[in-house]
Amino acid sequence: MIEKLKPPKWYLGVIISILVGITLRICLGTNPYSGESSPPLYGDYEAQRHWMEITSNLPVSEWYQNSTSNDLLYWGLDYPPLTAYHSFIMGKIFSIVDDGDFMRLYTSRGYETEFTKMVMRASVIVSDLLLLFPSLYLVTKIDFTHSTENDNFQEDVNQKKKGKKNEKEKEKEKNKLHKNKQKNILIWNLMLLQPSLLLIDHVHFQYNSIGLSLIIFAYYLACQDKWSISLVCFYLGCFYKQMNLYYAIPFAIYYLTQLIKKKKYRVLFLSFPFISICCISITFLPWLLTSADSLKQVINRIFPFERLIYEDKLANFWCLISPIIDFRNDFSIQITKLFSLLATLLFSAPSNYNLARHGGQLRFKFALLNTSLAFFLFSFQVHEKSILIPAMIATLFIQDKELSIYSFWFILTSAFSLFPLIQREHSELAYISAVGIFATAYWLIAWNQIKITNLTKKLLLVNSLIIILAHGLIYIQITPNYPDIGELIFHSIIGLNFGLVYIFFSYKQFTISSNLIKNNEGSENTDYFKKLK
Amino acid sequence: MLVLGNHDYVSTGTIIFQRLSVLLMDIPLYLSIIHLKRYLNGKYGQIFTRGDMALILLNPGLILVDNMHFQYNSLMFSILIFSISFAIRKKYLISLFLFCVVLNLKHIYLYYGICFAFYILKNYVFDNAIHFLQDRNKDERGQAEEEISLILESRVPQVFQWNLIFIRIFKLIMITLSVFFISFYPFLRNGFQTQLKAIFSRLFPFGRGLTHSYWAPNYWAIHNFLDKVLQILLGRTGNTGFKTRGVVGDLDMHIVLPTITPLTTAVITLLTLIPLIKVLIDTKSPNFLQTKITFIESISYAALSSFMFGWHVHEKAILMASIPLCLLASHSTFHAKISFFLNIIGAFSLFPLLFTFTENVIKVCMLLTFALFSYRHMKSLHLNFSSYILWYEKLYLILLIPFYIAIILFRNSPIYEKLPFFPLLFISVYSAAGVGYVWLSLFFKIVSHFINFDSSKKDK
Repeated sequence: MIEKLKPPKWYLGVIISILVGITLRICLGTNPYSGESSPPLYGDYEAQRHWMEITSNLPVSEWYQNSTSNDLLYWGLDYPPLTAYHSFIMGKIFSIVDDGDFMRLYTSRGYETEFTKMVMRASVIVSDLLLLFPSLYLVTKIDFTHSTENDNFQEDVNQKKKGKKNEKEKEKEKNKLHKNKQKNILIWNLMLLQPSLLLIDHVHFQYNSIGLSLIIFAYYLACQDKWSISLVCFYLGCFYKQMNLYYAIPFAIYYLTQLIKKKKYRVLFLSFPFISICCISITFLPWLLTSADSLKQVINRIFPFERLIYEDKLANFWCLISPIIDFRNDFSIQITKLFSLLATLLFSAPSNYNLARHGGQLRFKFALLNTSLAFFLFSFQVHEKSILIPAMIATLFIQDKELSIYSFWFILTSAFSLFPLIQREHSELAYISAVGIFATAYWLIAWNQIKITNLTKKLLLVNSLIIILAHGLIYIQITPNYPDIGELIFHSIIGLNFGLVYIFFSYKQFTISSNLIKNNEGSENTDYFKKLK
Repeated sequence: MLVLGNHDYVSTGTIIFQRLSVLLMDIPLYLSIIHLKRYLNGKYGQIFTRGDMALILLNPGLILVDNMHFQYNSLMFSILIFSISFAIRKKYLISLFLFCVVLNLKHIYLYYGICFAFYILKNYVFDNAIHFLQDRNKDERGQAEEEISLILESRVPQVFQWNLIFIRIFKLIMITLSVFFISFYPFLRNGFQTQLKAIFSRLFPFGRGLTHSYWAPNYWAIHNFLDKVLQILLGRTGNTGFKTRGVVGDLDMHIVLPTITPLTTAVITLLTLIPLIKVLIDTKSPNFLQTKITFIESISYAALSSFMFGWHVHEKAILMASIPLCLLASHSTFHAKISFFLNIIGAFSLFPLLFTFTENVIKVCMLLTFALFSYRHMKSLHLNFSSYILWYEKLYLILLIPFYIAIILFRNSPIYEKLPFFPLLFISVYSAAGVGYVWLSLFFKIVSHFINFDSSKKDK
């Protein structure tokens, strides 16, 4: 009897993936963070450290107030309370570093040593491990049939009808299950390598992964019919960073339509309001207990209404249209706010209407992507880093057989769009590594096995080449009259790409095959990546 | 950046340029591995999988030395692997040319010299004429003609055509001399004697002592350690203070065990390399898979022997042995096991090279990831890989973790002031035990090519 080679246990693959993720993140972390060695203001790293300092040393009522110990002009807290609580915990933990010098009020401004840099980087990695890794792993376990042709759906239906299976088929199924597990782990790895998240979180230094993975948990739980916990996760995500409100409209519509369709009125009319009141009150408890004014101050810090429509150059509609119509300088703030509100609602309406009318998990995913992209392109006070929000949903599309290549296109472009930010802090090496690793990994895992035409591949390559060549525009000065025009052209190319992505994914959303809607809404087994190599 | 006398010059541009240039050197390495992969096929399938490529490209020892400690080894290894693949393809002249090129890039490649010399002598110079005839008509990837070669080689007597042999020797000498000429001429034309003396004294510094300041994990580390231990046990004192201070110094004096001179090390190394000569002369033509395997095995053994018994070996030299061995990881369980071992022990012994806090974290994570990855990869290739590794070998590897933690704690403790060299000594001696064990198994494997060990049923 020939002894068959037993495949290694699946958990070995999981452990290796985790270790690879940790090693990569540590290596990226050796690069300069935002504002390294640049007094007087430094950058985002110093902002995070300062918040830890403020929250661990001052009482809660003073966190959002301007005072002598808390100068709001030097990186005042402008995220919702969950960030403040997180900074509080981190601050308390880090106050043992260097005998408290790291977190000492006022004197620790601009505190930079090799050890503390590694400590801060480690805190981001730990938050990644606890939240991002599990959430994406759960998402890979949902197998969707997203292509318009129903590959194995009919086969699986027949399979289920058969009933009893004999030994051989059981063995075959076991092998298939094992192969599916391996594929899922590979796709999980690919999702974890998303370059924009790596660059912002581990190089530029922020804690976006916490908020985004809470949203992913909310999405996953909504797909698994666990509505209350999903709502809690969504609230937590939004209370971590207010940017996550970009996802609010699709979530609201999905909750409403699904609960009404499934006739879960008790959940909708009892649990949801109760949970909302609980979450809001628990999060804002300290400020609710003090006074209405302190609450007002918190809201003012979170949603600053007197800022301009955009700050630096980014691939936002209002910024790119500025050579023609300069919204920032020529119009008053009220008019620009109105314009941006109308434009945002206008461009997120079609996708959400489609979601409201038809519903379904697949449409939910599409609506999240399209809405957040519309918000990015047309909203008020958008920052370059907000591209993470649509990019996170795009990573969920990587496991989709037909749309994988387009999500790859979008994620790559979003990583490219972060180049000026990364270049300002001299971390080009990290940029090259993160983008290169993602592109290579995608090529190795998926390129040859996905059914895409040669034309699509060539278009993608040409597009990427154009953008890569356009990187040089950031460095050179074309004319002395307009010193930033190179950057503007770069962002225009990227903005064009984003617009095309929006149009494409909207089109895909409207043309989802009606077969899927009639039947299950998507928990069929699929057989992607036929060759596992 | 290139101004003379600009010591300790640092700028962002310099760092980016140097880091990127080392990264770009991985491209030739990848190309060379692909090239070798095509020609290492046996009749019954590929012996080189994608995961094996990761064993070399992501080798922790190579990354630690190349990208962090900073050398340009990937380029040289790529030229070496090209040389090996041309030798396997029976294009011996190109192979020798590339070998001379890499030898002129870094003279440590002299470790492989004996293997290339005898392999080329046997298969090219003293090759039976019949092979030339049959080789011209055959597919050079050696697929499918092993049986015909077997028949021909057993039937046709070895006939030497001396005129052909002399022509071939002449060609070899011309290639070698031309490469060395191009490499050395700009220096030698400024004064033959003085330049040559200067070059050789820089290239082969015999005044630096038996062991490097961080003891390489070879036999002399164990020798030094045993000497010190016996010295303490037998109570003899002597002028050995500088040896344990970890400083590069002149001729070390051993008190209890005999003193080692450069001549001793040379003799011992050559003795251990003698079996290689017999093995290489006994091989059949490269049409056979076994020949290709034996060739790569022999160059790895030559490097490991020279590492074990050489004079003033640097720990980076362990890469010379472990990288070629990775090429054989999917061939047999034995090669997989020793390659697995050597990669991990080699990377562990390179730890003292990088000592800043950030590098400490990175190197530990990298070794852990690589160990698990290569274990899983080899388990998927070979039957019973996990049971093939014996319990004490597994124990040896697992004990690395608590020992390393103990070393970190030791460094932060008050005893560290009195015995600053102890952590390095421990790492060196512990790794030397492992490397010696690998060397011994490889030695028995090489010798088993011409001596049958009847008592052992398992592939040793």
